Amino acid sequence: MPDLVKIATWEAVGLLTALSVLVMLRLLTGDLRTRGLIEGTTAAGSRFVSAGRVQLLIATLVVAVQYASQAWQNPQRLPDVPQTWLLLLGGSHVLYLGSKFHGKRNRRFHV
Amino acid sequence: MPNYSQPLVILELLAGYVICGLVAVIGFVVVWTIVTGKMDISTLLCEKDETGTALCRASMARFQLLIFIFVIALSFFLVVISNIKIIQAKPGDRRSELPDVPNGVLALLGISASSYAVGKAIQHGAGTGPAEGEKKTVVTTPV
Repeated sequence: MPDLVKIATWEAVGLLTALSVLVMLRLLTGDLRTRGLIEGTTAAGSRFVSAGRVQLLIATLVVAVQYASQAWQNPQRLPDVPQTWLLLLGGSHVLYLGSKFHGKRNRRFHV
Repeated sequence: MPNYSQPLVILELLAGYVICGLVAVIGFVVVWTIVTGKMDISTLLCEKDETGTALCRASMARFQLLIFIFVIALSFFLVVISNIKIIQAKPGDRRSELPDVPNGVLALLGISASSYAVGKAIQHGAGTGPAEGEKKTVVTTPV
């Protein structure tokens, strides 16, 4: 009889890989729409690159890569997220939400 | 290691195989419906565009949740596999249990999810009064 642990491992590997590959492929081919990810819209309807969205995207990618590399280096236990990284991400969110609120309140732009 | 009776061991193995089979079937169905297009994930990151200039605009908060969930799920899986290998190499050295999720990770996901909720609230106008310079007009109806 095949080993239950091996079956569960390969099953999880297969499922996670399939879902990751599907989402990545669709992101790359444009089937998963990412249009407007870093854009805002003015009241007149014209688009512009939103600084709030760009800084949040950078903060997200930096934290995600840092966490993944920590987990890869020491896979004995799930790594904790340092307080400074949480503060960085929280600050980034405050900036993004602040600009969103400001634009909405003054009805000048939408991010 | 405690000694279990033979029927209990068989029952444990059987339950394991049944759960494995069930998860495999559900996973396969989910992946297959995405591949064939029955489950449409093209609007997974979309949010409503208030100006009406576009049908879909990618949401930063949704994108961030997607990235974090993938990274944390893959890391969790990596830790589980690593612990299984250690237990198989040195049986009895360590208890087989799921790894703890640190508070920092929960805070990270909490920040991301609450930002999504606050963003939605702002988008739908919670806490926003009339625009600056806009005069309030009071409409009175005769009784």
